[in-house]
Amino acid sequence: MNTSRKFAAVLLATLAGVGAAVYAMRAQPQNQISQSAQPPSLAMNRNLVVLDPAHGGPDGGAVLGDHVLEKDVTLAMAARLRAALTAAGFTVIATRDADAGDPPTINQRAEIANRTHAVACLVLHATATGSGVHVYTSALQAFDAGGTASVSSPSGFVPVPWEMAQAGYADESQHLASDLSGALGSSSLPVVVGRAPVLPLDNLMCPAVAVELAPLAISSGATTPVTDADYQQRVVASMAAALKSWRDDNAPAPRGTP
Amino acid sequence: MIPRYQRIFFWILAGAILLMGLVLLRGCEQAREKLTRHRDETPLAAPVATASETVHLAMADDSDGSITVVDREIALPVETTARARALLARLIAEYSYKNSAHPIESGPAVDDVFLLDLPLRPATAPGSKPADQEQSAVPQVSGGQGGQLAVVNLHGTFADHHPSGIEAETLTVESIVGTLYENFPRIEQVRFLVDGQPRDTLNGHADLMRTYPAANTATRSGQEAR
Repeated sequence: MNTSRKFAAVLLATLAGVGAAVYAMRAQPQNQISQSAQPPSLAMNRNLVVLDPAHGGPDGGAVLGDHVLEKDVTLAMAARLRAALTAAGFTVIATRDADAGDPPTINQRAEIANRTHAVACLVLHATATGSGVHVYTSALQAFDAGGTASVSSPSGFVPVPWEMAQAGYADESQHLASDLSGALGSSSLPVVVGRAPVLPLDNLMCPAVAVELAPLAISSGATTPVTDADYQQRVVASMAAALKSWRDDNAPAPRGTP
Repeated sequence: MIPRYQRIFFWILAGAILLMGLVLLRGCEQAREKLTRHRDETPLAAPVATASETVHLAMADDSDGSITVVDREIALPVETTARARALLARLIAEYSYKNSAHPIESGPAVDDVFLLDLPLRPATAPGSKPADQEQSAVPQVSGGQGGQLAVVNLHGTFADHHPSGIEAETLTVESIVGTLYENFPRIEQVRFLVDGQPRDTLNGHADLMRTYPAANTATRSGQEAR
């Protein structure tokens, strides 16, 4: 009698376990779909800035003078900007910290930035033409209110094409560029603002601008090269102040935090 | 006293040397003519007197990142693609002048300009079904009826020696697009090739893989530049 009861209990427990396992296996894919079908979180990490020193490795970029390559100037600018932003309370992630032989590709740089939900993404360049600082945003236009550039699935998930990832942040990027140019202009630095078809700007899912440092024309006819440490520091200080102001205006700190 | 047979032998040798010299001289002339014929770039067709006409060039300025439309009086070919090529050649030539606001090295820049009617459809072989009735894998480029896609084929040397930088390269691209827009109303889109092949960037910055909408770049740049 006891043996048959024990056998029945074990049988029931086994059946219950199998049933629970089958239910869990069938329910799991639905949970995964529902999670992935959620629209991407727009929450930004208000203290995080991504820096992308352009070029690197075999891609030296522009030649800016005798034995001076753009990849080295952008790396130096990123190092200065990292220090200034860290002092202002930001956490900084750079797509490259050294001139490695195998730098990240354009798409890998965008992937690094897109995983962080940063409050701002800055792509750093340098050139030998023009004067002052050039601030560019993506050439993509912002999505309209209905999001007609995307096709929504029945589950409500709205896929964003990789080539148009920045379109959702176009307005914010414009504001960021405006703030940066205002701060640079306040420091008596000539600024050119515009839109440019430059990658990876179009692939970034964060307020993103490309900042290009050009030689600084002085009234006497001479020019300050982009390698000048004082010139770089002046630009970096203005950018850090603009980013701090932009963060406080557009991503205010939660209540109770300093 | 020189024997007679030696004198005869001497004169035979002298004659042979003279003959060989003449043959060599003629060979050199023929080789020169052949080389000259290959380098001859004079037009095969008789030149046609063409009156000068007013064209609009979207001129870039590096100092403030602006593009301004200016008028020039030049004579252009009648055929449309030749007109577009000559117009862009003139545009780039203006940038190579001394004291140019957007300096670019002189030299050939535009190899060809192709104008394709939009929307693009895959070619069909004779006797086969029309392309739109088949499940074709060839992507179609959309565009308005009556519009054209301009494919600008740049020289590799031009791209390689172009000043490297976001501003410099973007201004060159917008200058070309703006000039085509101002002078060819049917052009709706512009694409770029370098030496007949797609290329990622002009010289490290401006994206050449995308299709640029033909637009009034002067107004846009003029408003945004400070």
